[in-house]
Amino acid sequence: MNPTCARVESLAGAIALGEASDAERDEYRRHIAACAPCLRALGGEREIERVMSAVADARDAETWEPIVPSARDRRTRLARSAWRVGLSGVALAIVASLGLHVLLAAAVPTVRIADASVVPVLPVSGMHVTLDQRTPAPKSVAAAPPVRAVSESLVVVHNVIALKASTPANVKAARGPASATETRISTRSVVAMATSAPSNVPIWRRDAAMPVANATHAPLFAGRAESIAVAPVYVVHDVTPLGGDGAISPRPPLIAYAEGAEGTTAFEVTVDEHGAPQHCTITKSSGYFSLDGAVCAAAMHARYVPRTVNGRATPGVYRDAFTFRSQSQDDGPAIPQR
Amino acid sequence: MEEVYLTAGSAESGAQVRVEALAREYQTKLARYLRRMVGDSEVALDLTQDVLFAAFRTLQHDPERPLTAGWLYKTATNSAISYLRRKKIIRMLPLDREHDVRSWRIDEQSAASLDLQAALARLPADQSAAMLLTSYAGYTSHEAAAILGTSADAVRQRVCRAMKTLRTVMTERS
Repeated sequence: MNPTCARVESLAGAIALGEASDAERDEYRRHIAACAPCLRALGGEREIERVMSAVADARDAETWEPIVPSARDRRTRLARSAWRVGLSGVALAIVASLGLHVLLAAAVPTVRIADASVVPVLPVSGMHVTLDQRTPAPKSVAAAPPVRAVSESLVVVHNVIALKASTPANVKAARGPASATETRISTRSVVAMATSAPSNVPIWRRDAAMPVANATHAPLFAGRAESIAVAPVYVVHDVTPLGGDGAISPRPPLIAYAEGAEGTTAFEVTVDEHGAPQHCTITKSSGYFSLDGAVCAAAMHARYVPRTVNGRATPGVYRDAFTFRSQSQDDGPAIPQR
Repeated sequence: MEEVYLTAGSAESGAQVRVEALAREYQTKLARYLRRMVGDSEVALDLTQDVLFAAFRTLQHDPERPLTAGWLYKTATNSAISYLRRKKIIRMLPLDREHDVRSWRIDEQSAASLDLQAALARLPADQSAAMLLTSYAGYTSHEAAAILGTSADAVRQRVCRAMKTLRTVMTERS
């Protein structure tokens, strides 16, 4: 816009408000006479007065007598709105929580495993569960009697399966029977330590220099004549669930009852030195995602007493198995026992 | 209008008396000004109530503060501009302010009144405020400039631009 035209806008405003002096009115008239766009947009002085008289007429015709609510009502209204917002928030949270529960209940997969080579991943809230299809490990302990009735139609049988890692036979014989809490008497082999310990450590000090992870490994030449049996060196306590065997209680979803799911789910949970479960692996699937997922979810929710070596907590693995059996196919009623 | 605006209290009595006086004198003018600004009677009443409540709060904290009509109009203008911004963002209420005009009483629906409201509906909030403060509330351009926080020349320019829009509306309607 031409600076002169911008100035004329201010002059027109002054004329409209009745604040223009005679000099300003003359200046406006001179510009309007020479500037056709300004004349078209603003009009002459009479046009300005006509437009502004319309505003005055509208003002004078105003008959609205408002009754403004008192400030006391304002306070009450504010308090009410605060309560309304608070109650709405609570109701929204309840509805969201219910919806989340329904979604989670419906999201548990119930598809039967068709291909054993497929390694599925179950989405369990807050944890990562992998179902590994491994070769079933031999059961070293027979199935225990039914221990707990989960509902009217499904019985959970708690079978403790000791899925020990494979170790040389001679070492296993030297260790004695496996148990949840065991004291292992290890043998020290000069030859074994010479191959695994750093060479700059004297032989008589290498025992202490050995890392804890290697401490439970069996000596390679345990049966040889130069192996020296010594006093108990490593007192090992394996991982146990905090709260006993009942600490892990899988709760299969309703669809498992409906489809008559049954089978044995073996699993192992890696537990860190603080007793927190890190990773759940299905080592033997029952064939139902619902059962396997329930077992892993329960295992990941439990807390554990960590594995200790000479009283020092170390990461460990907890292995267990659950057998789900439909009661309708049982011969008699299942009585919870352990 | 003999209305009790606030609860009686020893600490609030001074502020209460002053706000009552302000409300008796200015609540109608403020409500009419705000109705022209926002185009809705109910909203105008709410905003007027907000302005008076803000005045009470201000006097409660600082009883010696001189609270003038200019302060009330400044607060009312800011409230109206905030409301129009919210309305523009939320878009839950109809943007057509003529719709609200049709709900006005018959005796308020004169040609000049409708033309003015139609023009105000097309104007930016600052131009509406300048036009209403000067030609509607009766302030000079210098007083309106103090209320709006700008210069007198800027107020005159805004009035001129608002007047151009009003002239266009009047031409279209005739």
